[in-house]
Amino acid sequence: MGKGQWKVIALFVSPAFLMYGIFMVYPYMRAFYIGLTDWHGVSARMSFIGLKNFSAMLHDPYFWNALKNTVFFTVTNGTIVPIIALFFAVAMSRELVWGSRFFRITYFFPNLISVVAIAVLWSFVLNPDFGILSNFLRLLGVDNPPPWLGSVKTAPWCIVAVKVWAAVGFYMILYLSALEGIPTDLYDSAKIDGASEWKTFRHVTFPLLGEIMKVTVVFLLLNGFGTFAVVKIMTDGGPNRSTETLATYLYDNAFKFGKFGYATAIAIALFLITFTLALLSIRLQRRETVQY
Amino acid sequence: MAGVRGRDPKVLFRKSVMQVVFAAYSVVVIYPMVWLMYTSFKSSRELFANAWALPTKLHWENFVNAWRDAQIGSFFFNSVFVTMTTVAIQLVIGAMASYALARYRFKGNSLLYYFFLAGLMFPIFLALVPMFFLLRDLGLLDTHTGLISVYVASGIPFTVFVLTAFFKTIPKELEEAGFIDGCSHFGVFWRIMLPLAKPGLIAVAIFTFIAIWNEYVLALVVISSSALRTLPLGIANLMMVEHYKTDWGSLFAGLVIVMLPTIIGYAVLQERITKGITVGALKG
Amino acid sequence: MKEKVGLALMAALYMISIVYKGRGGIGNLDERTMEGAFFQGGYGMEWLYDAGKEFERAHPGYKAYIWGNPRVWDQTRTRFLAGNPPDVFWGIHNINIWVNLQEGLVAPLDSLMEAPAYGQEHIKFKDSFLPGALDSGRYEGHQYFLPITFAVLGLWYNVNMFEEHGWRPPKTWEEFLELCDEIKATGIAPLVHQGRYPSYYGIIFRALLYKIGGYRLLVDLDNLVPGAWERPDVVRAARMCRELIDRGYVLEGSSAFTHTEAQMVWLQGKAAMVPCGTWLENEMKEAIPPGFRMRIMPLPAVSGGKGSAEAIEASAGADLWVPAQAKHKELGMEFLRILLSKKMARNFVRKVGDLMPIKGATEGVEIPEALQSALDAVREAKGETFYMRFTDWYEEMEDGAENALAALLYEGISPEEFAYRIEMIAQRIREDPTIVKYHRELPERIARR
Repeated sequence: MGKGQWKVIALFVSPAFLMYGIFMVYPYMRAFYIGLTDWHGVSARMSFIGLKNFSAMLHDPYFWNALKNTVFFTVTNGTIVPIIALFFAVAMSRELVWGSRFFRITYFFPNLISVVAIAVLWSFVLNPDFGILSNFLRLLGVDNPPPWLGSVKTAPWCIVAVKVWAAVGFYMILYLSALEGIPTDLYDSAKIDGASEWKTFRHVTFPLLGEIMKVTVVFLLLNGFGTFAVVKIMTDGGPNRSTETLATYLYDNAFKFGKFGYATAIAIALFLITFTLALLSIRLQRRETVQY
Repeated sequence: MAGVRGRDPKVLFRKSVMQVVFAAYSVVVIYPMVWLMYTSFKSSRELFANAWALPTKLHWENFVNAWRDAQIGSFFFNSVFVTMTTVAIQLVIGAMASYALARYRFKGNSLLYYFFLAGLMFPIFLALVPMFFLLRDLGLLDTHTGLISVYVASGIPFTVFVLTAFFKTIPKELEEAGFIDGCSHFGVFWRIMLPLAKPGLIAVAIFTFIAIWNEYVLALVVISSSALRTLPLGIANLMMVEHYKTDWGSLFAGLVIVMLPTIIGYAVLQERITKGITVGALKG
Repeated sequence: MKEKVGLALMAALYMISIVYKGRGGIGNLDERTMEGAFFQGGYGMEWLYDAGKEFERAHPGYKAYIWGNPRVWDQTRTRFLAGNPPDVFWGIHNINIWVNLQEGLVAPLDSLMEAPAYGQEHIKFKDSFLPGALDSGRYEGHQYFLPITFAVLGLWYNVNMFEEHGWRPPKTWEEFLELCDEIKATGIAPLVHQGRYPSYYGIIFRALLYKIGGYRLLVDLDNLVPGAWERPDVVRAARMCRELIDRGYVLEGSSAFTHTEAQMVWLQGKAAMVPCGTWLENEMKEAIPPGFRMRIMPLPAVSGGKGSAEAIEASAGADLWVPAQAKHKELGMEFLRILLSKKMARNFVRKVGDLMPIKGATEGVEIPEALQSALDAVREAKGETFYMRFTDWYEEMEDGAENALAALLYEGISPEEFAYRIEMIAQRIREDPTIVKYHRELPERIARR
């Protein structure tokens, strides 16, 4: 640990430190101040109003509605995606299906397309008049397929479906590679014991996937919490705010209503919730590591 | 082994059920894209008349309109430039910082590490508004430099997170051998550590590439000139324009132009990408 | 080896991108260039480019740089923040021009109003507009916003379909329901609407408000008079809006359609009528089947209501302005003087098939049937034209009313609940001292009666 080492460390760390400090940390810090103002975002005029934005938020039914929807997208995203992805991955690695190489490649396709393109594509697929989904159902004899994105009952589930469609391939590949790391003799001994496929999964495969499952679920939860582009493009929060998330609501407050101060306050709330989530998950993981 | 299992009728039945499920899902994945491809050759009127039907005549002009009028071609190169520059800068400065954090013990090391990591938890929306001002004051608003700066900064937490973990796994002896051979600190980093961390670097590069290539929100805020737009901005814009012109054919053509390069790139690099994802996630 | 080839290819692609990437932002134009940024929507851009050419002809040595985008406000917001806006601005989407006015972003146009009209120097610019067209752009005695169009809003019907079946535009609500029954019996949906944007259904709602409660009601609602939104007249209008859905007159799936999708479905004859404004024909230009004919009709009269069957919504919504921080405000105003001239107004009718609120805009121009039907409707209304302002003044009202309308139509909330929800938003706005309140009086011609 010579004195010269400080120079080396400074040299190595400072480029990243400066970029990150200037273009990330500084704006974030400033955001906390904007959250305390009534800024309209079109001119420099802003006045300090203390915590008013936050108290307004607590009394804002649309905020609570957006929070409720966000939680819905978070939970569905964090459960449905891992279940489907894991199902595919296990079936492939246990060789329960032919042509897994083909599926491995095709299932990943949605991950190559930008969310914007996915959202645009699915708005057309779900179009009640010429969209392929409704037309397919009509072929099957369904007379009046639901208007998908046009009804409060179906629209949130359509968003979930699109998010799942877009994510499953990626997580399937992750799980697959984790599964490849499991020694085959574990399976062989399970087979000798006469365990069924389900039992093998339950007692051999799943416990060994613990770590990666935890990481991915946390990641999916965070991703669900920040749901924006899909909603923005497909429904813009509608019908009747049934798909409005915290992210789209704060975007609208800023860019539609010109309430940048209030929007920033919502962003701070969003941050606090995300932060707690992340902190909790780190805690959980640490406990696991200690046991190990 | 598979052969032996295959002869059992119960297993055979289960396998067929699985096969159907897998095939069905691949239709769900592929058909919308195939539909998109052939619909991009139809006129708006044909689309409305029969959504399923193949085009009666190939409307190549849809592609011409998308490429020329909607400038998808120019957005494509903007995206290439912005994404590749971001990935390159991020890899270099991210790897340097991670190396120092992983391999040198110094006061405030873990504090610095968590300082970098904190960025993972901030929603980007929080920074949007002040980012305007910062970039304006620096004269970087509506420039690729501004957008790249913001992208690099926003990717640093993830890069540091993955690469620090990577550098930590490299045995100390290799490093010491380097010093004994008379390498400088930078020499050890460049000639010994970086090559060893290659799988990690590739993973970060792929992750960053996919994220930046598809990024929409920050670009929406930073870029306002149409000449500087990236693909996601361009396609979102095209969707809005076509909504007012009732020319859906061009919109579909634009989507195809956006999707094809990445899908072809994937087909070629498939193994690598899969491996990269695996490495990135397992270490990270 | 493979890897090296890949890297080389990537490097080559990168080099190409450096050559072909776009460069240079706008907003750094030279001193003799006027920049206009416009909403690119149903009217397209050509009429604006034409005005730009006229500007360059009238002022040799000067240039007009005109560009458009459906999200023009999102695109330029950063430039407004940076104090470097374009010289003329017309934004529709996401923008609240009244907030901008309060923020000091809008230049007063008083000197322009007194200038001579372009091409008819004997009259002042302000006198070249249709009567009343400038009202909605005035605030505290100054003109800030100018109108681009005189839009007429109502129900558009498929003329060929109506003639084929011998249907006629109804005069009373009962006749209207009968007509809808007849249409429905043929297997065609009487109505389709642009459900993704419930404000289009607002055309039906506002018309019913007027037909029931007359102009007084509209003015009270705009002024957010306490309790006005919960009056029985409002509840009745809401119930009638709902009735059309309950009776199955509205095409299934309408709630999911964007505006152009719904209008497309109507053009294909799957529905007989669609609510829209005079921009309809141009917006759908590329998709109108050959021989298709469209005409507008007002919503029918309502028994015991105060408005006549002929009354129709028509407004010269003023939203064209010159940013106060623009580098060349005088050039921006000069462009407006040319854009809103009789010559360009006639060009507008020719190119777009819609009307600017300029006197003599239709002189010597062949008027398409769609626009002619709107002009006829206004004439037959004999001065009984109406419009509402609350959605322009208060973005939250616009948003809230749209959502309440969607809930009324598709989630089965009661008309009373609908009225209550909007009244609650009105109350919130009334009680929020940070929101600037606007006020309108009964139009003179109505007040005189």
